[in-house]
Amino acid sequence: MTRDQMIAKLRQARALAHDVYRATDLPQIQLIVRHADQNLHWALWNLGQMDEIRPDLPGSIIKPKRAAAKRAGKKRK
Amino acid sequence: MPAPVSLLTPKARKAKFWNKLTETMPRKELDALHLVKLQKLSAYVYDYSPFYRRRFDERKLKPRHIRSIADFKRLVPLTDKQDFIHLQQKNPPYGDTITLPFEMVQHHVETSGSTGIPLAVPYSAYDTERVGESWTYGFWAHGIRPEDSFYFAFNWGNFAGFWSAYFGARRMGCRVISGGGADSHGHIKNILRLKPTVLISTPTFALRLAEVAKQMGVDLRDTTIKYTYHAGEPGPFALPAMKRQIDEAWGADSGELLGIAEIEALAPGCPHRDGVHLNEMNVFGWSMDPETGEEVGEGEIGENVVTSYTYSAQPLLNYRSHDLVRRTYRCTCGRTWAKFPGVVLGRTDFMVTVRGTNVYQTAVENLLGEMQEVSPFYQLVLEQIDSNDRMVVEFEPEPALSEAEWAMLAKRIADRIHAALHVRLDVVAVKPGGLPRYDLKTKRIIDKRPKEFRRALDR
Repeated sequence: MTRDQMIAKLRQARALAHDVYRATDLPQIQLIVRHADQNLHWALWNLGQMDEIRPDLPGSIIKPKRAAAKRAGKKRK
Repeated sequence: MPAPVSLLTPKARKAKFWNKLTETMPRKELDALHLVKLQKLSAYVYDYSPFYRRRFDERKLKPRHIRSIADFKRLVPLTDKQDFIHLQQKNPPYGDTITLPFEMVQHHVETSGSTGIPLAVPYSAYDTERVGESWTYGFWAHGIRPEDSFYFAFNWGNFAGFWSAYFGARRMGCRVISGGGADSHGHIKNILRLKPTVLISTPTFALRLAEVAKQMGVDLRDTTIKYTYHAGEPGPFALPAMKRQIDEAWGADSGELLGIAEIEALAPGCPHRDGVHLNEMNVFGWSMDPETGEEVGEGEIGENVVTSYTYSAQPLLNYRSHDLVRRTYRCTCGRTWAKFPGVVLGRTDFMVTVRGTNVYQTAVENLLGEMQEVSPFYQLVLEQIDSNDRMVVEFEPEPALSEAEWAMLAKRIADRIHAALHVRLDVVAVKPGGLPRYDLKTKRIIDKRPKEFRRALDR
């Protein structure tokens, strides 16, 4: 798997984790998923990706579709 | 039988680097990443920290004004420990320097407080995941792997340095054994009984344990300890004599990390064992002339000014470490991260003027450390006589030396200091075992000068 592919998978995993966080009112599941997201954010950080300083800040989550669109937009320019 | 469970794949286990991608990242890519992080961090503190918003507004500085690394160095105000101590005292426990709601603070630690006022350090849960990572980089470079197990020869108090090492050992997935509640004899017994392979302690405490083991008739070279790893005071990568003595006493490879308790463990040891590399994934640093505030170039000695990206509960930007380092970007180990050969070469705030000459504590320590006949137990006593500072070097000679040789050795040390630092200090030999021993940071400076003439010593 290339670095870019790993990054895409991790972003996808973060988006899924966020979906679960928002969908549940179970405090236990929210906090477990939040912890998972921290580690996914850290994995991305250590692959040289920098969305935000913390995973819970607005703008931190870049959903794969948006990221792909952003990349495509850059290429077109 | 199913295949045994394993933390790492065989290929990952054989990797030379903890993360080759980050540790060998080309400088251009690293600097581009630094700029993005510095911009994001500046926006974060401006939005969430009343302290930084005030400091930025005083200068009419907005995060958007930071368009380059040079802008960040030049525009963002320097911070110092006293700023934070002052605000914490005014509004305990953390003052208005904190960026997160109180419920997000999951762990409280402190600096060692050798000045009498420990700095309170709040960590968010995410901070505890990240601030130990430098240790893990260092452990891996040193040869430590998940099957190793750590013995922490510490009381499990609030000291930040110890906790970050613990977070690092956890990150690698190693077994962790607490030395909490044990005295020196207890530590030796625990090591014999529980068979750890890595010792974590201050360097001088590793030597203290070696002394105690000897009295107990235990040869530490026969124990399971393969590695020792140290921080908190000048260690084996700063002082060759320290490295030799720890390695010999324990029959193990000693390692060292440079940390700043209020920031994080920021520079893991180089596998060449002659210095440390700044963890440039977590930290940004540059070197400054402490007198002029101007940046100094590669290879020149300057004060290490650091910014941590990963300590998000109480961020420290352009923080004056007061550590004097020689920064270089060349190392044959393959890492592109800045290297500090010899680790910390001196302290800007531990300077005393003796007979008109500025003398840094660590400069004297480095000279003592190079002399094989001098044990790692020594202290510098500061006095004031007729308004002049006087420094007396008290040291323990190696036990193998006869008492008749002590005076000659003291003279040789004084001559060596004179030749290197251009100042003549009084040097006095003390009977081996005569100087105090410390579990945590060794107190090297005994300041007997009137309070108003002292600098804020923190070591």
